[in-house]
This record gives sequence, C-alpha cells and structure tokens, in this order.
Amino acid sequence: MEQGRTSYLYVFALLLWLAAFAAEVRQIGRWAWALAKSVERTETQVEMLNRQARENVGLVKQARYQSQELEFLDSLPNILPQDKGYLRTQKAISDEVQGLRRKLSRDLRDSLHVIVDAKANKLYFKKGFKLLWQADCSVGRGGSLIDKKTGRRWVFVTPRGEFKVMAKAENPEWKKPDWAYVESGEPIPPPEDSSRIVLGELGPYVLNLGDGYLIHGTKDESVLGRPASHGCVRLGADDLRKLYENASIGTKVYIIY
Amino acid sequence: MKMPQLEPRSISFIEKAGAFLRAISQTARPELIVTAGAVILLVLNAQRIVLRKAVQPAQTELEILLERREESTLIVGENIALRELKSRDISRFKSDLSLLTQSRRALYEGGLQLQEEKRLLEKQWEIMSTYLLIDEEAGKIHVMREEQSLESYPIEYFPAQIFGPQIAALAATAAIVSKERFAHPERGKSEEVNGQLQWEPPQVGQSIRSNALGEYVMFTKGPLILHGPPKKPEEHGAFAHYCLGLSLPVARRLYTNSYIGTKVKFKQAVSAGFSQGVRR
Repeated sequence: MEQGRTSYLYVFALLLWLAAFAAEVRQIGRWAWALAKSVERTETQVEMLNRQARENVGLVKQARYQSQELEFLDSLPNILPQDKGYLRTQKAISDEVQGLRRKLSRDLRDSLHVIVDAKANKLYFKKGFKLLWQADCSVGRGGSLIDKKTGRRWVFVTPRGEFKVMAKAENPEWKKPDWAYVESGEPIPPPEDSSRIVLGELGPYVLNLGDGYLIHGTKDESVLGRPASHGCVRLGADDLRKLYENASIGTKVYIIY
Repeated sequence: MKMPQLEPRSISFIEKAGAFLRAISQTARPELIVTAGAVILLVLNAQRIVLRKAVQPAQTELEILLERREESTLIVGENIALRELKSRDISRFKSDLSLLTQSRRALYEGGLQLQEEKRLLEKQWEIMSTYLLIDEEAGKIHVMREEQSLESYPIEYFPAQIFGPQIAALAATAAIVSKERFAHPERGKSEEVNGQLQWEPPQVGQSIRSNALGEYVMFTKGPLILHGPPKKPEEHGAFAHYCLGLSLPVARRLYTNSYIGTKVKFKQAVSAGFSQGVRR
C-alpha cells in the first residue's frame, strides 16, 4: 500500500516536471520562431534596401547623364548667330537692298535678265528682282598667252559689263580661234580652213553675247564653279538648256566681278 | 484518502513506472534527481529569457529597417519622377531646339541671301550708272557715277582729234562695245595659190592696228577709240579714228574702271541737251 502511494507520488512529480518542461520548451520554441522570423524579415528588408540603393545609384547616374545632355543641347544654338546686333545689321542691309531696288527698278522693271557673277562663278536668271534660278558656271581663268612667232597676246578674262543675247544656236560649231592652236602648239591653219570647225565642243546650245564671247556648254562639268574658260561663260548641260529656252534674243546679260 | 479506481491495465503501467522509479530511487538519490529537474527547468527558463531579450532588439532593428525602406522607396519614387520630368524636358528641349535651329538657320540663310542680292544689285548698279564724261574745255575725262565724278584724268587732245582718212562725225554719246588689253592685229586673209590655201598669220609688229592702238583699247560704237600710247606714232596718224591722246596710266585706269556698255559722253553735248534720255 505504502509502495503504491509512493509510486503515485513519483509519477505525479514526474508529470508535473514534464508539464513545466513542455511549457518552457514551448515558450523557447515560440521565441526562437519569432527571432528566426524577425531575422528572415530583416534579411528581406536589407536585400530590398540594397536593391533600392542600386536603383538609386542608377537613377543618379542617369540624372548626371541627362544634365550633360541638356548642357550639350543648350550649347548647340550658339553655333549660329543669335545676338540682336546681327538682326540690326540685317535690317540695315535690307534697307540698303530696298534703296538699290528703287534705283534699279526704272531700268529693270520686270524684265528677264541674266547676271554672271564672275568672282563667285555663279549665273543668276532673274525676272525683275525675283531670282528664278541660279547655277554654277565657269568664267575666264585669267592669265595671258603669247604667240612668240607673231607677237600676238591674248588675255583670258571675261569682261565686265552689260551685254545682250545677240544670237542663239543649237548644236553649234566651234571655229577654233588662233589662240587654241598656239595654246596646243599646233601650226595655225588659214582662217577659212575647214579643219578649224569642231563639233560638240560648245555643247548642245550656245548664246552669243557679241565680241567673241559666248555662253556655252562644257565637256567637263566637274570644273563648274571655278574659273576655267578662255573668256566665255560655261554652263552645265541642264542649266544651259534652261537658259537657252528661257532667254530670248535681246535679253540683257550683266557680267559682274 | 481514497485512491481512484483505475483500470487493471493502467494500474499495471503505473505500477511498472513506479517500480522503475523506485528502482532508480534506490540507485540515485532523490534530492539529486529533484535538483537536476529543477536545474533543467531553470536553464530552460534562462534560455527563454535570453531568447526573448534577443527578439526585442531584432524587432526594433527590423522596424528601423522598415522605416528606412519606406524612406528609400520615397526617394527612389522621387528620383524616378525626376528622371521622367527630365526626360520630358530633354525631349521637349530637343523638339524646341530643332525648331529654334530651323528658325536660326532660316535667319542665317535669309541674311546670306540678302547680302548676295545686295552685292548683285550694287555691282549691277555700278555697271548701269557708270559713264565716262569728256570735258573738252577742261581737258579732262571723268569716270562718273550718276552725277558724281569718281576719278578725273587729263587728256592730250581736246577737242578729240581726227586721225586717218575722212571718217563719220562724232556722236554726242557712244557706248564701249569692245575692249582689248593688247590691240590685236588685223585678221589675216588667205589666198588660193595653185589650188592651195596660202596664209601668213598676222604679225603684231607689221600690223597698223596693233601699232596704232597699243594697249588698253576701248572701242566705242562710233569712231571714237580710247587707247594708250601708240607703238608707232606714224601708223597711229594713219589709222582712222577719233583720239583723246591718253597716257598709259590713264588708259589703264579707264580700262579697269569701265565696262562693256559704259557710255562715253561729251560734256558740251550733255550741257546742250543732246543726252536727253540717254542718262542711265
């Protein structure tokens, strides 16, 4: 009987202890879980913070690049004139142009005319003051040629002044002048010699300005825009056709320097 | 104390457990077992306290991190908004810049065109308004532009002298139609001898034209020829033309400052009204 009571007591004590033990273990487990959860969330937050930091660094770099791009773009317009003085000068030039137009209007009116700028090697086709079209041309290259045998000298300059279209022709023949033979070192044939006639040298059209000066075509259009002729005005094939079609006989041609 | 009535199976288990515990208690001292049990519970309790204390700072740290992350999220959001604003600014700037550049280019090109037109009109005006005025009373020739004398040079013959055989009368106004830097000889003529063309190219030294007119020659529509000193005076005397007797520097200046089409006028004729309607 005594032994049974002791057994109950021991078992009871053991159960009591086990209950206390279980309670403690449960508490420890709960706190450990909380701690683990907290660490896990902290790690997640740290990872996210790192990601955001990297994103921020990227954004800052982009902002710096954008600022540089804006600075560059802002500097671009400075290539072109922008000060008010430029506009004032343009206004003054515009007034002068108006004055010149008034002076010239009596003579030019609305007539078609040609201007050859022998310095810029450009040909302008105008109606009154309106520019209809312009083209590159080649004028006299300058310099002179001396024929030692006869003492003759030629100067290859396009003269300045007011000319008129005296005649026009299609598929013109070129009657080679004496200087052409002197220049190439060939013997000069008599003026009536048929060997002087050359076809195709002047292009498909010619406009005669008088005194031996012509507006004609060229075989080498690459030199247009530079002085290259012996005094005539050379034009490209398309522009020559346009001029031939638009300029009638009597059209004034001003050659300026 | 009345003991609870247990199932025979439960009784045997408890008895067995009791027997086991008793057996242990006979080998181990009970106070030691109790102490060990208490120590274990105390250790566990201490462990729990340590864990609870560790959890609190971790949670505090986590809360701080959460706050930081919120701040960081705001900053990132602001930066993204700024980037978008800047991108929009850049694209607007680019499109405006394109318009601005086009407008400035138009302004620049307009300026160039204006200058080009001014140059053409000025040169055209020079050609159209320049004329040579011969003042026979004063013995001078003037390069005129409108009513303004730009340059004046002396002439040897005033009035203009006639050379050569009888020629047409001098007109009040004549325009320059041709200019020769060096007077060319007459054109050569060929003749047929025994069925073959015979031709001698013109020689400058033997040409009356070249010897009479020399250099810087300006031919007018009439009989008046402006030129530098002749190479051979006797041949100059035989060459038919009206002459003003220009020195070489004067002929050079007039050659340079005149154009094809430039009018040559006599002052007396202009004064007498001959030139009505011819002023250009």
